[in-house]
Amino acid sequence: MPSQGNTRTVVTTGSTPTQSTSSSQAGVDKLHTLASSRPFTRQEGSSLPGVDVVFPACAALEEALVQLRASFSYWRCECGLGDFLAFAKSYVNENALESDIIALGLAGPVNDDVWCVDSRGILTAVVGKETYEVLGLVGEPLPWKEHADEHVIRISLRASRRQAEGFKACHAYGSKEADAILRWDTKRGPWRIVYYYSGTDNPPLKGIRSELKQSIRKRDNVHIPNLEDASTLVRHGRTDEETDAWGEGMSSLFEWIGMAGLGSPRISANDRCDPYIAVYAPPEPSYIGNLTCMRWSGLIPSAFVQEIIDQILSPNLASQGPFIAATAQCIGTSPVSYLLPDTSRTPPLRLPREDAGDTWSFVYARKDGERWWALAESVGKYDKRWG
Amino acid sequence: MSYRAVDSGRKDVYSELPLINNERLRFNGSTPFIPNYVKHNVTRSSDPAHAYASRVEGRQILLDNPARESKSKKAQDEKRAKRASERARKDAGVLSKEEGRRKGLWKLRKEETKFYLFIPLHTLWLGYMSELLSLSPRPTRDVGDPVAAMPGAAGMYAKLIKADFHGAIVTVRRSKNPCLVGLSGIVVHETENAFKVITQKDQLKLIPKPNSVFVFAVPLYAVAALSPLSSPSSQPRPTVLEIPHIEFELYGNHFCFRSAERAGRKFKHKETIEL
Repeated sequence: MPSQGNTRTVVTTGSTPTQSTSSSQAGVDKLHTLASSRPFTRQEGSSLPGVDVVFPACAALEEALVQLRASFSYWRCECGLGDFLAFAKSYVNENALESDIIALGLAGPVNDDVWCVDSRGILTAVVGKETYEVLGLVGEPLPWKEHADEHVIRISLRASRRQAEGFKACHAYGSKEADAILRWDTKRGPWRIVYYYSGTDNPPLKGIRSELKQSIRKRDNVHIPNLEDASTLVRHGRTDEETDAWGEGMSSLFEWIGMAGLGSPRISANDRCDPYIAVYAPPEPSYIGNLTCMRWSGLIPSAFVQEIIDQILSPNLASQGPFIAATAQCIGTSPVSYLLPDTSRTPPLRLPREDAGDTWSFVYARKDGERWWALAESVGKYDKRWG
Repeated sequence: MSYRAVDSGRKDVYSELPLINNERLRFNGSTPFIPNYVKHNVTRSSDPAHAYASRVEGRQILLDNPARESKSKKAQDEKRAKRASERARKDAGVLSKEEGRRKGLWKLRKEETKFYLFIPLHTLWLGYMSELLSLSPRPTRDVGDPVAAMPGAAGMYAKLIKADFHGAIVTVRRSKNPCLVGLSGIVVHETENAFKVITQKDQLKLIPKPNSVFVFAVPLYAVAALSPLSSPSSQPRPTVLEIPHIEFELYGNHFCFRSAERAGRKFKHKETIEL
C-alpha cells in the first residue's frame, strides 16, 4: 500500500471457499491469532477508541455481538513497581511463556520512563539516559539516532532464566534486579499503573476497578461500500496497473471503515461540506443505507478481542449482513505492542509515544457461502516491526 | 733531476719534501692572493676592506662538509649513555613498569584478596581524613540529629581533591556502563584512569574512572588512627559506612590523574558534569 509519511501499512487478504484448503486455513488462522499478538489494546486517558466494529444494520449481528458481555474488568492503582511485581509474579507461569496478568506503567510528570508486563510475563521498560545510568541493569539502546540515549530493559518475572534464544536478552528477576527496582522506586516515587489479571479476588494493591464500556451508535443514510463482488478484496491483479488500482481500492475501503468507526459526518449521504475544509468521496461502488457501530473502550485484554473476532468469523452468522469490519488501536505508550508468533523471540523495538501509531483493521465479507477477508496493519515511525 | 729550493740550494725532485711542524702558513708577499681576491669581488659593500676585516679575516671557514660520525661511534655513545642511566636508576631503586608487572608487585595473591585484611588500611585512611579535614572529636553527649553536627563542607573540597584515596571506600553511583553501578569496595590501588578496589565479597575489581560518578564517605567526627601496637586479633574496627559520615560525589571524568600528580595540580572549572 502507498505509505503516508512515516506510516507503513501492510494488507493481507484471504478467502475461505466452501471446501477449505490448507492455504485458506492458514489465512483464517492469522485472524484467529490476531488478538494474541497484541497484548495491549486501547489508549488509556485519551479519546481514541479501543475496538470498533462496524457493519450495515443487521439485527442478528447486533444481537450476537451485544451478547458478548464484557465480563472483563481492569484495575488502576498507584504504587511502587517493586510492590506491583511482588503481586504480579504469582500470575506468571514459571514453566511456559504465559501470564494471566498484563500491566502498563504510565509516564510521570518528570520523565518519560514507561514499562509494561505483557502476556508472556516479561517486564519491558524503556528508560531515558538518567535512569539507565543509575539503574545498573544492562539494556539495549533504541536504534534511532534521535533516541539513542533511551534503552530497553527486559526482565522475566520468573526466578530462573530459560535457555531459549530469545531469553538471552532478558534478566531473571533476582536480588540484583529487585534492588535496582527498589532504588528506582525510591528515586521516582509511585507509578500510575493500569493492569488486568484473570483472578477473581480483589488484588492486595489498593486500586480502582473499571469495567469495559460498550456503546452502540446507529446511523441512517450513510454511504456504504458495496462489497457484493467481494472477490475484489483478494488481489488478482498481475500487472502493475491492476495492483495500483487494487491498492487504491483497499486504501479507500479502509479509510471508510476508520471514518465509520470514528462517526465521521463525511460518510453521511447528506454531507455538504465546504470543499475548502474537506474533500471526501466514498469508495465506489457504494449505496446508501443504515450503519451500526459498536465500540468497546477500556484496557481490553487480548482474550476479549479474540472473542469479538471469533464471533465475527462464526459460521452461525454466515448469512447475516454483507460484511463486517473491526478496527483496534494499540496503546502508543506501551513498550511492547506486537508479539511474534514465536513468543520466545524478542518483540520488535518501538519508541513509546502518546501519538505512536499501531492499528489493525479487518473487513470480512460473505456471499453465497464464500468468505473473503482483508486485514490492514499499520505502524508509525520508530517501530522496527517491518524494519 | 733537481730543482731550486727556497734556500737557493738544488734538491733532487725525488727527495721528500721538508715537513712543516706546528708552523702556520704565513703569507710573505705584500699582495697575498685571498684577501685581495675577496676584496675585489665584494662589490656590493661600500667598504670591501672593512667587510673583509670584520667577516672573513681570522675566521675559520669550512670549505667542505665536516666528516660524519661513524655509525659504530654513535652506537657506542648511545650504549654508554644507556648504561649510565640504568646505573643511576638502579642506584635510585626505581623499578620500571614491565619489571614491576613481571615481579607481580601490583598483584594480590588469592589469600591476600580479603576485605578484612584491608580494613586496617581503611582505618588508617579515616585517621588521615580526620587530620586533613580537621574534624572535631565525637561529643560525649548525644547531639540527637547528626545533621546538626555537620561541619561546613565548603573548605573540604579543595583538600579532598588533592587527597590520597588509598584506603577509602568508594561506590559507583552512576555510570554509562550499567554493570559498574553499585560496585563498592576499599581502594587498594589508584592509577591515572582507574580504581582497584576490594569488595566485601573478597573480589578485586578494576573500576575505570571515566564515565562514572563515584561516592565516597568521610567520617563526621575525628577517628583515632590505628596505633602500631594494635594486634589484628583485637575487635574489628567499623568501616566509615557504619559510623556517622558525610558523603561526597566524585566525577570520574574530571579525576583522571595520578594521585601523586593531583597534589600539585590546579583544577580548572569544567562547564558540564554530564557523563
